[in-house]
Amino acid sequence: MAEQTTPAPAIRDFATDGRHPALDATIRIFKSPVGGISTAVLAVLVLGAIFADVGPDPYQSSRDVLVGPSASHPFGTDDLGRDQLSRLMHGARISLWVGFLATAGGCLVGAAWGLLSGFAGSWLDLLSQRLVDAMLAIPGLVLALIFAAVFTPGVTTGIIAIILIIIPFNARVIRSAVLAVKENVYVEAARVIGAGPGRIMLRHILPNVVAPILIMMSTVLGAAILIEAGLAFLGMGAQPPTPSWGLMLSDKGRQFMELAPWLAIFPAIAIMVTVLAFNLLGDVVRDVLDPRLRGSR
Amino acid sequence: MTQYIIKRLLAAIPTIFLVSVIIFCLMRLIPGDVVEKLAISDGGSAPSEEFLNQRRAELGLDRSWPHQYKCWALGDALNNISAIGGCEGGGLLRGDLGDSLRTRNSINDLIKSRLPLSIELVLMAVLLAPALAVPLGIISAVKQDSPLDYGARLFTVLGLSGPDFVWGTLLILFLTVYLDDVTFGLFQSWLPPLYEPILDNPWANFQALILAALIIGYRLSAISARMMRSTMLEVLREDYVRTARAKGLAERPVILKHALRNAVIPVLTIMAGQITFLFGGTVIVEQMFRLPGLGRLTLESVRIGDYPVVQATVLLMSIVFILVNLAVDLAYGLIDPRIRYS
Repeated sequence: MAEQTTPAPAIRDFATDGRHPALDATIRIFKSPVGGISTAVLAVLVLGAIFADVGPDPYQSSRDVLVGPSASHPFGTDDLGRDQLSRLMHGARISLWVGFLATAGGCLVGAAWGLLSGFAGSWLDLLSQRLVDAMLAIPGLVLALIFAAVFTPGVTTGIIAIILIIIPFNARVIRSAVLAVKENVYVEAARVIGAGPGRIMLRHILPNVVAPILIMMSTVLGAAILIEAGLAFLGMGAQPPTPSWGLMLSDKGRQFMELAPWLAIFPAIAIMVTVLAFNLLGDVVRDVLDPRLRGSR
Repeated sequence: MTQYIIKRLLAAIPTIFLVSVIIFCLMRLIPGDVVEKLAISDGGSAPSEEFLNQRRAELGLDRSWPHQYKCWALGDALNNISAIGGCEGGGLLRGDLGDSLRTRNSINDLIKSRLPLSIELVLMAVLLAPALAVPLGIISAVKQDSPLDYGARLFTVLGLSGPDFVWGTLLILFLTVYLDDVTFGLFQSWLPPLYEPILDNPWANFQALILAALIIGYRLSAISARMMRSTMLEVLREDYVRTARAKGLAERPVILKHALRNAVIPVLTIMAGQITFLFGGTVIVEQMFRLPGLGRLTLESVRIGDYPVVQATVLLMSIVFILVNLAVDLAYGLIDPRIRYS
């Protein structure tokens, strides 16, 4: 019979098989080749960070000074004889910790700011947007430098400084998303049936700006790790003997560049691979969550 | 048009005022002021509290913050009117940035000597970026999913993932350690580059800056090339591009005239937004290549707590950021005739 082509199977191909949209998005992220590879790389990093204590003590010096990559020290040792693999693994802890904490903090505060400012409108919005303008006009790294100087330079100060840099970017993006969502008829409908501003904001607007918030988070993660390494590189972040990647690169890496190039190369690779994996994952997250971009890449 | 520019410039005033207040307060929150730090760095025995207080009074640091801010912004303009006078200098609003707390030299002179280097660096990077990004982005979009596309994408992804200090360190490592054996120390002479003003010795100036400019320019071109590729892909699917092809236009004018003009606007926006990152980048590369520019001045002054210098450099950077963004908004009108400001 010619009645074979019912629309049902065609629809089922594009639908989510009844899965929750969040679960569906997660599955799509892991299934894409780039998403899969970057997740695998990040899994290795996380495992390295978790099992960092299995290796030798990263602060313990030994007599094996400036030994190149070998069986006992796969990534070589520095001038104090400290095992570099172990230091890199502890460095992964710092990078991931700073990355996640700063991203979560910055994106949540920024999103709350953007939500309130976009929803409130009027002079409050105007004032807060001027403040965002001002914060965006100051070079982020310089702001972080000054902030690190206000408190004692260190990992925690670095996290707070990075949060401070991330906030205005988020506030701006989320605010414009809120302004767009606010115009929808269902918001008006909610107001008509007597919903208060708090309810409208949390139940009707917030769920519709979750995607931009997640997209911002995924793109900011790599940047947060970069800023941490940059601060450490300039001596305004983690302090010796903390095994932060940026510090390892600037401290021993540049000092022994000709004698022991592995002290520069491995931390450099560690920073790049981590940020690369987060950036690629961020791209996939954006592709999956942003319907406008579908089919364009 | 003129009205629009004036409106934008007026709107920038509260932003600049807020920047000045933020920096002013943040700098003064740094524990241990410049007097203490200088006394410690000069060595010798710990100076007495009396001596420190006397120095603070000389520098005007014993006054309240609002009073210090008034002195910074207005100078001696209101000395006759206000009850608490005693400010010196012309003040910010009359173009006097004050004196460095460390050297007591005029900051205007200090910036005049440091600024050209940073401007050159940023300009070289800004010129490099579109020169690389536009062709790369076009090729990548037109030959989507070809080896050329993958090559271009690898280039951009590496630029986005490797921060300037990583690429800078690797570049120095490569030039000094590995390439040097092959090139008989040709590049060794490049490395401790002695900066000379461009008018005195253009070649030495170029040699001193090119590596640093390449490093910060790489990131900018990577970001722009990525944007170029994705907007180009979008534009190539538009109806007017199909129409242009359908009416028999050759591929070259279709891409260079119909598609490129429309695709380049978001790239401009992205580049303008990156200006602050370029300044951040100058802090790192100037430190790395030992170039006496504005970025290094900022870093040194933050460390020593030289408030007015940091206030001046940061204010300068944010004003440039605001002006560049205005200029880019105006440039949209030139590229896309549909955009008109009134």
